[in-house]
Amino acid sequence: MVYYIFHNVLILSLLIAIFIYIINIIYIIYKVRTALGQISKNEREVMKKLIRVSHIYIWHNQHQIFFLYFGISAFLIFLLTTRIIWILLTILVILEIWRVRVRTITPPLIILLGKSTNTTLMRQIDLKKLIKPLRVVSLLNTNIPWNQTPNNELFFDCYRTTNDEDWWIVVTQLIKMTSIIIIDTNVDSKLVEREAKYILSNINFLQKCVFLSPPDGSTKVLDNILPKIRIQKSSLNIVEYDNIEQEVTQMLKEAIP
Amino acid sequence: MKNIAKKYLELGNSLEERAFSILNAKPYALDLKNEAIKIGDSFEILLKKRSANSYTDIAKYLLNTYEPEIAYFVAVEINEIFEKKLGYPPIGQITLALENIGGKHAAKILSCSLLHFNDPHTAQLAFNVFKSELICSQIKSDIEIQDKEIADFICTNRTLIKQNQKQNVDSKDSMDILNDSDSIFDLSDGIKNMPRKLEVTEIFSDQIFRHLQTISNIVIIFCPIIGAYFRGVLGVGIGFGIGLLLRMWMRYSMGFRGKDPDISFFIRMRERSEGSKRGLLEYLIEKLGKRNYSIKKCYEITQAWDKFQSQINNAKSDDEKLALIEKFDQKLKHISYT
Repeated sequence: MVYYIFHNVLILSLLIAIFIYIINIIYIIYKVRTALGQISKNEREVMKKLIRVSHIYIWHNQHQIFFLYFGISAFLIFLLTTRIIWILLTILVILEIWRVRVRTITPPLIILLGKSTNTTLMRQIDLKKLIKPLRVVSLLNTNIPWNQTPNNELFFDCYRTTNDEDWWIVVTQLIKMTSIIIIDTNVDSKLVEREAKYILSNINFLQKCVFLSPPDGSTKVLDNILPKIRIQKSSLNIVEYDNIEQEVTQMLKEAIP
Repeated sequence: MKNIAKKYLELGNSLEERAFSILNAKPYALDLKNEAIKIGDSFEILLKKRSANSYTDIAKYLLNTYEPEIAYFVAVEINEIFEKKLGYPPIGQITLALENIGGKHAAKILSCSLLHFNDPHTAQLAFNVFKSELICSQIKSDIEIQDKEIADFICTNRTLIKQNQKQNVDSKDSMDILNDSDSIFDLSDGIKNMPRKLEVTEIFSDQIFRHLQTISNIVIIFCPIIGAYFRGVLGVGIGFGIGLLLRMWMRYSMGFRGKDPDISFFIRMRERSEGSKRGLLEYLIEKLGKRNYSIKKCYEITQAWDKFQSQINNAKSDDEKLALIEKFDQKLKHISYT
C-alpha cells in the first residue's frame, strides 16, 4: 500500500515537473523571439563558441554528458521494465538538457561592462530580474567571498573567460550582439577604458549604449578618452546609477513594440 | 648565417610536414589543386583587379575554411594555377588582403608564407612589406614559438624601423588598440598557457575521456538496477559488485591513480616514465587524439613535477606559490603539446 502511494506520488511529481519545464522553455523561447526575433544559426554558433572559452564551459560540458548518460540509462531501464516512471525520467532529462541549451545559447539583450565589484554584480542581478527571462550578460568575476548571491544568480550569464587572451574577442562579440550596452564610467580601469574606446569608435554601438555615472556626474573613463576624440560628452546617453532601470525600461519600450 | 639558413629551411620543411599531417588526419580527402580551382572559379578570380581589396573575399574564405597551414598551401596552389592567366602572382594580393583583415588566424597564415621562401633574406624583405604593426608583432610571436632566432632574423629590420618611428606610434597609441583582432575565429580553446591550439582529434579524444569518466560513475548505479530486474535483491548485490569492478577497471585503465585527480596524472606519468604499459582505455584515448605520451615525455613531466613540488614546499609567500604554479603550468603544457 505504502509502495503504491509512494509510486503514484512520484509519477505525479514527475508529471508536474515535466509540465513546469515545458511551460518554462516555451515562455523563454516566446519572449526571446518577441524581443530579438528569429535567432540565426550563426548567432547560436557564436554563443556556443563564447561558452567554450568561458567559466561556464566545464560545468556545462559535465552537465550535458551526465544528463545524456542518465537519460540513456533511464530509457534502457524503461525498455527492460516498461515502467512509466523511467520514461518520465527520460523525458525530464531531455527537457533539462534542452532548458540549459536554450538558457545558454540564447543571445543576450544587455551587456553590462564595469569593474568586478559587489555593487556592479548586484546591479546585474537587478537588471536580470527586470528583463527576465531575457538575458543580461557580463564578464564580471562573480566570486565574492562574502556574498554567494552573484555566483548563484549569474551563473549562466557570466562569460568571464578561462584564458585572458580571449577576453577582448568575447567582449567585442557580445557588444556587437546585444541590443543595449551599459558601461560604468566611474571606475579606474584600463580594461573598461578600452571597452569604452571600442564603443565610442562605432556609431551603432554608441546609439545603444548607456554610460553610467554617480549622482555627482563624474565619468572618469570618459574624461580620459573624450579629449582625444571628437565626441562631445553632452551627446552621450549618460544616466545616473539609480535611474538605470527606468532607462532600460524606456529603451526596451522603444525597441520592442 | 649558415646556421640560420639551415634552420630556416628546416622550419619550411616542418611546415610542409605539418600541413600534410593535417591533411592526412582529415576524415575526407582534400585535394589542394581542386580546392584552388574551386575557389578561383567561385570567386571569379580572372575578373578581379590587381588589388588587395578585390581579393578580400578569397582571403576571408581561406581564413574561415582551413587551418592556417592548409590555407597557405591552398593560396600557393591558387598562385600556381592562375598566375599565368592573370599575368601577376595572386598570392601577393591574397597576403595583403589577409593583412588588411588582420587577426591571429591571418597572422598564422602569413607566418606560414614567410617560412616558405628559398632563403631567410627574402622572408625578411617580404616581412617588411606588411604595414600593420599589430599583424607584424603577431607574425613575429607566431614564428618565435617555432624558433626565436629565425623570428629575430626575419623581423630585425622591422624592429629598427619600429624604434625609429616610436614617437609617431606613441602619438596614435590611444586608438590603436581598436585594431586588435575581434574575430570569433581567433578564440583560443579556453585553456591558459597553451603553446598552440588543440587539433580536432585532441578535442575529440578529450571528450571521449570525459564520456568514459562519466560512464565509470554511472555503471555503479546502472548495474544494480539491471541486476534487480533480473534477480531481485540478490541481483542488486551482484549488479553492485559488477558495477564496482567495472568502475575500478575503467578508471585504472584510463590512468587514474589515487584519490586526488590533480595528483593522479603525475603518479601515472611517473609509472609511464618507468616503462609501465598503457591501459586499454588510455591507449584508445591517446590513439584517437593522435597524442603520444612517450617515455621521454613522461620522464620530463615527472622531473618538472618533482622540481615543482620541492619549490612549492620551500615557497614562503602566497604570491611566490602562485608564480610557481603559473610557471609549472606553462612548463607542463609546453612539454605536453610541443
